Order: sequence, then C-alpha cells, then structure tokens
Amino acid sequence: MIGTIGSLVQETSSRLRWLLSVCLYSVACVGAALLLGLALGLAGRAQRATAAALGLRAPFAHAEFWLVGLLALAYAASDLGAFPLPHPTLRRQVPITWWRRWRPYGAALMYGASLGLGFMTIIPFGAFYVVCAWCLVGGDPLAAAWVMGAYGAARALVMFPASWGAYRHRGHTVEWLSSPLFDLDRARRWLAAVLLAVAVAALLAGVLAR
Amino acid sequence: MIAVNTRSRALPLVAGAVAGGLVLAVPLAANSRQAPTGAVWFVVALALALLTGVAKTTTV
Repeated sequence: MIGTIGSLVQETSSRLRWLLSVCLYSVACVGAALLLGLALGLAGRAQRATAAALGLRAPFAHAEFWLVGLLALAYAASDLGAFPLPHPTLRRQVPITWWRRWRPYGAALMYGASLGLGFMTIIPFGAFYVVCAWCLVGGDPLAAAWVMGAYGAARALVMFPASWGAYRHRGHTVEWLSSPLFDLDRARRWLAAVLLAVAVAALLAGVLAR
Repeated sequence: MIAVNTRSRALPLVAGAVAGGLVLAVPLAANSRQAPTGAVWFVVALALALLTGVAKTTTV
C-alpha cells in the first residue's frame, strides 16, 4: 500500500504539503470508514426489524455468533492456504489519474475516501469480511460505525510513520519495502491466527451463552 | 518443500490462536445474552478492525 500510494509519500519533499496531504487523506479515510460501518449497521438493524415484522426467528439461539464464528473460521483457514474463498471488491486499485489530475490535496482526499471504504482495492485478508459481518449482524449502527472507523483510523494513521519512513529511506526504498513489516504472507498468517482465535471464541461463546 | 515450511510456521500460530480463542470465549459467552454488540464483543471487533487496517496499509 505504501508503495502504491507513493503520491502521498512523495509529498515529503515539502513538510507542509506532506502534512496537509496526509491529514486530508486521514480525514477522508476515517470518514468513509465511519459511513461504511454506519451503513452496515443500519442494514443489519433493518434486517432485524423486517424479520421481527414478518415474525421470522433464527432457527437456533445465538445464530449471530455462529455466523460470525463460522465465517471467521472459514476465512482463517483460507488465509492459511487450506482452500480459496472469494474476496469481493469493487475495483482492484485506486487510479493513478486522480493523482495526476488533482495532486496533491484533491488526490489525497479521493484516495482517503476510496481506501477508507476498504473494498475499493485488493483485500488479501479475510478479516475485513468478518469485521463487515460483525457490523451487519450486530444491527447497531453506532457500534458498527466505531468498529469500521477504527479500521479507517488504522489505515490512515499508519500513513504518517510509513510515509515518513519512505522519505527517510528514499535512497534505498526497495530494500526498505522488502523488510518484514511489509511482508504480505507474514501479515496474512498473523491475521489468520487472530481470526482463528476470534472464530474459536465466537463458536464457543455461541455454545456457552445462555 | 515450501508448503512444508509454511505449515511448520503456521502450526504454532494455529495452536496459539486456538488457546487464545479458548481464553476469550468465557467473557464473550458472558457477554452474549443479546446481540453481538456487548462490550467484550465490541472490543474484539475493534481490535480485529485495527489489525486489519494496519496490515492492509503496510502490505498491499
């Protein structure tokens, strides 16, 4: 990611421009993520209201926990290489034309808004879909907005040290980007382990809950 | 050979994850009386979202 939105990194040639660009990126990123969470939470609430109005009930108690747990388990296994699962996205990447057309501030805003939504670029981690599922089945728009907002904030705040690091390592960027911090397989394995812990906890919670 | 090495690296992670999940299950179960939006569930989802965001930004 740091490599692909190098546009924000390149602005480190002027500290003020860099700071403004990354701040605009961050605001847009968090805002878009909050809105995504809110939309998922509202959809979940609407689904609950519709089911209640129609008199529909889940076939067994704590179905939400089973749903999140099984999804987490499936995506953890998939991320560990057991079998492939779909990772739906709307686009594969953010267009470089935005940078050429609206650099630096407009592009920073556009990149932030697009990346904050998550599914506008490649998603190599099943954890994203599990978080979306939690927001949906929870049916609480405010909680969902906070959770997705945390995703957006993490994406935004990492840009500050990362782009500054890219500036500091500008003489040997390739070596820096080859360090373990940017290792996709390593990150996928660790995230799969966290996902597996969530899956075990959710499934057991579904069993233990009264 | 590569697959064997990957598995050997993944095994401790899987074992740790299962152990972590077992520990996490008790407070989650106590928190699961209604929707999965109780305090413990919220913290777990928040942590997962944060980790996903950091991993996504640094790697892809």
